[in-house]
Amino acid sequence: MHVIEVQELTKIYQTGLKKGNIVALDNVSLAVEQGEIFGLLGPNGAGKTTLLKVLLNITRISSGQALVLGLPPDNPESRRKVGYLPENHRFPIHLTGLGLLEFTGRLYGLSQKEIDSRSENLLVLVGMERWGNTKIRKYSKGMSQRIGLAQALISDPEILLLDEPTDGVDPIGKIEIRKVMEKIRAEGKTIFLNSHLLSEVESVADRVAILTRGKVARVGSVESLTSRQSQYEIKAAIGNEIFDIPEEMGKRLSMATDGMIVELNNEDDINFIIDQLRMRKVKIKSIKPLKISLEQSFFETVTENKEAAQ
Amino acid sequence: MKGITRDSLVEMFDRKLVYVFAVVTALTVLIVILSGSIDGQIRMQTGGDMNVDDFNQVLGDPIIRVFEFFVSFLVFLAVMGTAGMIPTMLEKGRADYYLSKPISRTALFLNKFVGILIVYGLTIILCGGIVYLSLGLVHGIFDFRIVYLFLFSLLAFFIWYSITAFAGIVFGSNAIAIMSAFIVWILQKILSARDVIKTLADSKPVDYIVDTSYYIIPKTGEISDMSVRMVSGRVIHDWMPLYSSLLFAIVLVYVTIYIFKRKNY
Repeated sequence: MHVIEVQELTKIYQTGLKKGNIVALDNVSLAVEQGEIFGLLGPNGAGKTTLLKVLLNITRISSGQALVLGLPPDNPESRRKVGYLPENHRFPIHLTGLGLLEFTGRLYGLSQKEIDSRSENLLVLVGMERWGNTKIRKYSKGMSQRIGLAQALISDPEILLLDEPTDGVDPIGKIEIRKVMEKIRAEGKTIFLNSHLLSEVESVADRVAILTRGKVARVGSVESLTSRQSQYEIKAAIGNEIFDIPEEMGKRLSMATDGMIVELNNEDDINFIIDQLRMRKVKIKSIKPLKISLEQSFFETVTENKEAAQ
Repeated sequence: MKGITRDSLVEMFDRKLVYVFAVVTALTVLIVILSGSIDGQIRMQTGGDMNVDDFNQVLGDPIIRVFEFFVSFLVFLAVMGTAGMIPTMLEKGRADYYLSKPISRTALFLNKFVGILIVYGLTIILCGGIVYLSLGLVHGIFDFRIVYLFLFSLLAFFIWYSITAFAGIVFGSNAIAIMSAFIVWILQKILSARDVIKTLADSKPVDYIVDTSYYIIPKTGEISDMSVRMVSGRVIHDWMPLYSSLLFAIVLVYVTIYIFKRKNY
């Protein structure tokens, strides 16, 4: 089931006659499944935050369609089961941490009993139990992020939209927030994660979309974005033997005495390589699809799109 | 609604505005107590208990005027204190928090608007009530008609707040929200001398513009005069300043909501 669906969504900011318009989102289409952590990556100004704002009706759609839990964003009920941690947030500083949770709960229409029972648990969950009665203006950046995560969870949401959730958080805090995300996913809830930290997205996300210049450049599982199509790393005691691959089958990218990297036109042809090695009595240690980091995949995608645009 | 009203109250305490109201009220009560020395003189002339009419006989309506000035000053404090609340709510980083909640923009604006009116309205009544009580205890005045001053002051606050809220939503700036109130106040002052302007201009189009502007722009100064007349027991012949000003505020609130619903944050 798709909990978030976006079809041909375009957002154009009108900035005045002289400056022209800014296309923040350009025909974006994507869908987020229930229970997954969906990572949204992109360079600054790619439109990541705009997409979140459109889903929450903070910014209005220019054209196209968006559905959150089956409802259009301009229906306030679409936000009933959605928690949101904005980027660079400024929560009402006259409130304490507990006061913020209570006020947020009231905006969601929760009863005092529900608010009280959830607030205490959430403060413990985000490690803020000692600071609940301190005014938000006295919080550090990391503490603000933690209380921000707690307020996003107060309504027990089905979908959690997180915009740079670990921004300003210390390394231990980052790990804790990651654990919270995994716990939420284990409860069958969906997380839509905007982050600059590619390693963070790589470690928690099930699927990722890469946004560049307002367009979806790539979308897929982390596995599919980080694996090199039909490239294999073969660890084997090849020694000094010359090992050639028929041209119609693919090519050898590199070769050493302890192995080689090959690129095949057809994935099934890996069996031919294995047969050839075994025929020569070469001891095979391992064969695995070649992987790159999400960072490398991201960099390549962004660079390709930049070049295509020029 | 309850949550936002309570939040407005907490915000008022946080902004230390409550102390300003308290200090102004305490000073006024002090003046009332010190003015007790004239009480004997008035009693000698009127004999027995006094009401506002007795005061009018002896002093005209300066006491009512002073009390009206005090309540108007409270309204002024409330307008200045609240002008920045809506722009603050919608500043970068905070708007996302409010607008991401399952509440329509119309409801959010109206809740905040009414919440502020309730909190500051009650504060004005409380402070005014304390001064009224002190007047009663020191001078023996307990006249129900003084309540009209509170009622008209709350209406004036509603009119002023509709202006600052409109500017706050449109421009998203505390400073412009405050300036908008001053601009309307200056326009009111100019238009109160409309007969002089029309005589000087001696032009039909100018007459038309001045008259139209007069009917459109709220007339809180005249509303204030109306309240004094009511407390003094005098007849009000023309209610137009009140009706037209309230209509202006209601239309402005409607326009503000319309703009707010269409804005990107």
